[in-house]
Amino acid sequence: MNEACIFSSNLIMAKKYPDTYSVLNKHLEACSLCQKEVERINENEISWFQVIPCPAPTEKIKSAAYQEIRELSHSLIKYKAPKKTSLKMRLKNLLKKS
Amino acid sequence: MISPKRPDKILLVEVSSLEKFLNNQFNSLYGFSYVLIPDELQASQVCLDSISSLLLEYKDLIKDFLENKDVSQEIKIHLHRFVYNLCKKRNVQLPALNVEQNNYMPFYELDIEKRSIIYLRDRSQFLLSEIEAIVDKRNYEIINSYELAKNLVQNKGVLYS
Repeated sequence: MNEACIFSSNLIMAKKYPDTYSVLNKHLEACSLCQKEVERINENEISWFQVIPCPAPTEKIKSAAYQEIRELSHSLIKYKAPKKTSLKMRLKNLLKKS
Repeated sequence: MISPKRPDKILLVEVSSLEKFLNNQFNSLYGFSYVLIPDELQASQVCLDSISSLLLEYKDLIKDFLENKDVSQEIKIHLHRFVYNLCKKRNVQLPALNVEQNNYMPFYELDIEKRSIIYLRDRSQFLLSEIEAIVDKRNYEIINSYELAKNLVQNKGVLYS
């Protein structure tokens, strides 16, 4: 393959869109230039992700937070007492039934 | 407060689903919050403050969630926006915090906006349009900040290694 291989510049696109990748698969098997480019991209990706932290909460923090979230979300339930029916209404209902 | 129109038992089940959803969000919110304010307690408090702000300010959205409408991504964006804004304010008030993780020094030396953009894009996998809503910047400003930050981190990473 010569150096003007057009697929080298399209490799990033191919990584993002797997469908395109499958179309390029055959070319990749044959082209050493593209294979080197894939290696280079993969190495860069790995080293880039190694410099971005990925902090996670400790169990202690998690359980305290879950408790707080429980209280916050349950505060949405507003207690509504059932309406009391008046004596007059109850008598009316009784009369209706009888 | 959302006044229940349906029986309390049903509402309790729905609120439990909201609780479960918020619990799931906590981990991702905590990660985002910690990279902006590298202190366990502060980061945790910011997440809880964001959740309570959401429950107070977006009652309609919460109501939609309780009615099983698909608003989870919208809630996620609002939560991250609250975290970003709170961290930006608190970062000014807090004394400089010691970051012990030397491997990540180049990252922590970036300003809060660049750290947010990198984390939201590459760790939380938000779309560009969603990052726009979280950090309140235009898409070209975000792309510019991202590329600049990536260069800075990679160049400094070479110096630290």
